[in-house]
Amino acid sequence: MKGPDVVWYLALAGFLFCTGALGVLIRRSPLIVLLSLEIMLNGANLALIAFSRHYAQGDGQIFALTVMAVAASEVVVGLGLIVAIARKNLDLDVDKLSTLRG
Amino acid sequence: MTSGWLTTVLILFPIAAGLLVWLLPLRPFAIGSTALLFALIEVGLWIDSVARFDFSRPGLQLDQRTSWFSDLHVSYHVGFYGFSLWLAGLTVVVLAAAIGYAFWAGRDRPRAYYGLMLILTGAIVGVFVAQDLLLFYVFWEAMLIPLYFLVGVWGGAGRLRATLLFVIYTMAGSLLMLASIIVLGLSQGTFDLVDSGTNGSDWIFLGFVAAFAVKAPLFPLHAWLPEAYRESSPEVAAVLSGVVSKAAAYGFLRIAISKFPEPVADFRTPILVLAACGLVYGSLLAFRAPDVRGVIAYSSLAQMGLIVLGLFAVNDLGLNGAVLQMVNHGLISATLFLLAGGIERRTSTGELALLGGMARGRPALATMLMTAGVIALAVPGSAAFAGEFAILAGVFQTGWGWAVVGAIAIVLAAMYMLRLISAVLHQAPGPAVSEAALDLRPAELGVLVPLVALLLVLSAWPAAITDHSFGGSASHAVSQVFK
Amino acid sequence: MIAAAWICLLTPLGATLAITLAGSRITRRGAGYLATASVAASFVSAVVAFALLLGDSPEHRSHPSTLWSWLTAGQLDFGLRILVDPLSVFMMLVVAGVGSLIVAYSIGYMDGDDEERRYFAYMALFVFSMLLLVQGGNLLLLFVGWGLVGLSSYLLIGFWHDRPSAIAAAKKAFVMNAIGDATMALALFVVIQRTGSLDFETVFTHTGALGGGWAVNLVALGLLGGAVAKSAQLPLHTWLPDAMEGPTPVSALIHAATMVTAGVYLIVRTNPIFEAAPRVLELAAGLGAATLVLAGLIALVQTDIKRVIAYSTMSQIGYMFLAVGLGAYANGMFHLMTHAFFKALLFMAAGIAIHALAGEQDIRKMGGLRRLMPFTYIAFLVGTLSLTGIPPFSGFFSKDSILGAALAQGWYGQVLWGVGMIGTFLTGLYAFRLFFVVFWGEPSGFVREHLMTGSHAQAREGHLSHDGHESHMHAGEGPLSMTLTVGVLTVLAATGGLLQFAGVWTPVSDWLEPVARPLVEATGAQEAVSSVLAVGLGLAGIWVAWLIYAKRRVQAPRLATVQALLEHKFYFDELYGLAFYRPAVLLATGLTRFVEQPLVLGSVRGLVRGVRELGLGTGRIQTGLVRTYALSIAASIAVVTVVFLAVR
Repeated sequence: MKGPDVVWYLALAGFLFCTGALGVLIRRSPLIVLLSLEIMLNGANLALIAFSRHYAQGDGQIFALTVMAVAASEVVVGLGLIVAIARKNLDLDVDKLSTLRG
Repeated sequence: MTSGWLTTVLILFPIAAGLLVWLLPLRPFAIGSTALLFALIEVGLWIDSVARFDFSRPGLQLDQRTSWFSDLHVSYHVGFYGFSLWLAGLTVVVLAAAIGYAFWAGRDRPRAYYGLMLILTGAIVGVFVAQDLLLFYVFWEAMLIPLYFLVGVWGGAGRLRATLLFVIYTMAGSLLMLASIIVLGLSQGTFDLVDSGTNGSDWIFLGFVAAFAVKAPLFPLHAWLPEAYRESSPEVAAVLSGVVSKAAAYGFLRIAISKFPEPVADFRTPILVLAACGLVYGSLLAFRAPDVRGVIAYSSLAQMGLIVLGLFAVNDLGLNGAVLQMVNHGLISATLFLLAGGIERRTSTGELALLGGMARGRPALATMLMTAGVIALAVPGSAAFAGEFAILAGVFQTGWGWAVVGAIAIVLAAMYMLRLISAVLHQAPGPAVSEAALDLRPAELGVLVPLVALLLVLSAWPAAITDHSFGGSASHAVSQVFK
Repeated sequence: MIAAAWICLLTPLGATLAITLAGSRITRRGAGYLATASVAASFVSAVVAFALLLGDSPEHRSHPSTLWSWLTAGQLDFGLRILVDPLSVFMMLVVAGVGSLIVAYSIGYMDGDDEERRYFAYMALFVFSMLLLVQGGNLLLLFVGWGLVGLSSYLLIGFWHDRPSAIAAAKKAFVMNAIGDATMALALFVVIQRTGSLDFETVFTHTGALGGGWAVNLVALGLLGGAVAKSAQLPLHTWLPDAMEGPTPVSALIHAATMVTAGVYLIVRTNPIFEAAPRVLELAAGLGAATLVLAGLIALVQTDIKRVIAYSTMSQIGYMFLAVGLGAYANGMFHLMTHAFFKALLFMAAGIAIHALAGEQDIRKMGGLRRLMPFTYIAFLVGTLSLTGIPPFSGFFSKDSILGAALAQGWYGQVLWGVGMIGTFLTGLYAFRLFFVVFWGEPSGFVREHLMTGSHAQAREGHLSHDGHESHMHAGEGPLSMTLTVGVLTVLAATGGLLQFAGVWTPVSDWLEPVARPLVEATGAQEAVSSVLAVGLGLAGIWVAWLIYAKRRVQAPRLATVQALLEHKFYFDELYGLAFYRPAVLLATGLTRFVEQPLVLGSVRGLVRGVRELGLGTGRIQTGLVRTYALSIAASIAVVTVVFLAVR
């Protein structure tokens, strides 16, 4: 087994995840929120791959690939929504987009 | 005799037919006739299963079983007992009549309407044949979904409120039943109704009773009843009071009474008291109800009280009488609600004060209402009389007081039914009754005559049901948990 | 014999179904002929059954026959079972015989009514029900017939359904009878519980199983309740006079000749049960005696011709109850038969008069019909003499043998004998009051207008508005179908009594002996004393009536309170209204207003409000801001993680 210990990878993964989560929580622009979500997903992916390597099993990598696919589709939907919001001339501000409340 | 597939077909055929009707882009007339055709085929399938059924034998027949979740012993298990066969027959006949009536009366969005009616048929038949607790619950809830739309979309002016009440009430009961089902199934190690034995827990028993008592309904849980019966279209009211309420009575018989002998003994008196209260209370309110549907609705409450009285007598007379009365009342209230629909179409009101004098010049309407009415008030010799007589004779053996209450209710039934008949048919024509209000049309007669004819056949031969429900002694079958 | 009995039973039912299903494809007149033919066929079958039964030795004259199981439950099996025995054949002959005459009479009487078909369907249904009642081979089938005659009675009383009074009377009759049905049903429940069967033979051989004490008394009381309601005896008698709202042939058939005597039949049929409960049997006799006097008194002040006859019916059935209550079953049944003849005759003769007078029933408007309607006059006279019990008319033979038997039955019987004697006087008085007022004297203006102007069409038009139904009329005394049947009944009422002459020849008693062995036999002296006294008192009644109403020498005494008491029929209607009907209505209204609205439906409102508020409460958590949700998710995960770590 070469390279740094798995702990380092996990630490980086945790850092990425927290950065993303913080971005989701404090930023108002939906675009940045989406971006932060991607960072969170990548943090998770890193953790999966790190464990996959650590245990020498392929499952984690497969999961990571699945997550990437899902993330890609999710970005498509998310960006589509943002374009739709922009077209309706609404504010691009997640604090004002609260129609879900009913 | 391995015709278990027939039972499955009886469930799946109407559901598939319903989806087909819903999806096919046909014109309204074609949709109605197709739906009616499917409903009649379903009746034919049921007749076929009667022909294949061996009434001399107790126990489950025409059964089919496939494992579903093997580790929890949940399976797709369906089959018929004698009494469930009759109740399924009641279902397919009343639903066919309801679809026929709707076809004649014409409904908006017919594809969805007939589709839902057919799906409802499958769901109710499913309730009567399911031999697995989870399957039973699935069908029980599946029954609610089409009804929700049928009352809520096609009902009268106050339909939303009526739907809300109906759904909230029945959901509350159903959830308690779900909890009971889970606890019972896990404690027995199987969810199968035939395999599992008896249970002594009061709480599980009460969970089931709650669901059935709301659906029946049993006094004082009937708050949803008057609005649901008044606001839905006549054929849906016919299905609600004629068939859906019988699912609850069936549940009492198949699950509550047979699986819980000790709790039944503990709670028999309170339940009998509620049933007797419902019987008298419903009769009295029917006597003062201001409209046609109100009378029928409250008389349904009274009749369900009577049926529960018979069931909880738990002896041959009471159980046989209750099963007979379930079929009778299903046919009677369906006939009466459809007649009420016919009257409302002609006069655009159901207020008794505005009606009257409809007998003159309308012999078919008068004959049908009079026949259905006198059968409903259990004139001796009618099928309803046979049922009531057996029920009261049965409950008399539990305690004479119950039969005395029942006897009072017989007199009250005569009073409210004669009041209804006279208010609609007799004396001078009411303000809402114009000369232009026609007699029943052939299409309406085509729907109503078979129902009344069935009642007359049952009047001549009530033993057709009492002798062919349990394959021997009813109380024996119950005490053996329908093995 | 069995086949004949089934044919007898089912032919009228077939006629009902045929007329109902044929609708307007059958002519009105055709429906009448069909109904008459079916009832006549019943009568012929009854005669055949009778002749065949004569061939058996008296001990073996009981033939049950079951068509199929009607109602079953475990070991219990109640079959569709008839019993052919002397009693049922006797009743079949009376019912189908008198029935066919009255249905034939109806062809003329109802001619021109626009719902004639419905009428004949109902009439045939009634005959079927009545035959079912008397032929039923178990208590359940008897009860079924019992209920069905009540139903057909309801339908026929309310036949002219746009008259509010007719509908009210019909409902009243049905509900009163439903009360009797209910007590009878309770009696049957006890029988089922104790003997496990309802077949006559089984029940009667197991009267011991009913238990000597309360059970058998309860059964007898329940049956008596049914009998009293059906036969319009105290205290459930108030429906019968109102039932006169129906067409006159209906009153003749149902409310005089057949249905109302079903109570007598019931007691005779179930005599082993009643004999095991002697107190109840005595109660029946006492109720009969009370009714016969009470009804006789009320009849004195009634002004409606049919109501007078109705009260006399109650009174005569009182005699029958008196007889069977004292155990003189054959005497009661014999009186049932002669009463069927002369009472049907009275009603039908009255019907001819009513018919001729455009539906008028008030005797104060009548008078002097003797010369104008001589045939009706003779018929009515025979009926009235027979009713009063003047020899050699039929009532004499049957009524006096009842009184003779009463005299032989201890002190209780003697008290009732005294009451019966008072009744005889009253009978003579009210019967001849009616007779003199209607037929003697000078024709009143009203009668002149209708019968002497010659132009019926004119009279008819003038009075259509008065009463749209009975106004269809015929010249003189009606068509052949009416006069011929009345003629036959006149002969029967005059001579029918000769069938049995107590102490001399007794074929009726001998015939019924195997079914109902009498508890009492009067001696020759008792018979003679009763007969002489009864005839004397009857004649005295006639004399008084003659003085007051024919010669008008004596004013009828006027006592305001008594008059009011009698005209209000002893206030029974008012009492029942106050004691039962109003409380029921109040209770129902009260329950609607104070329980259903606030509690049951109110609870729903509360429930809905609760659910909505719960929903609104949780709704406040939903800010709609994605960030809040994300924060809560993150916070929850953090909490869960901490919990997991800490708990390990």
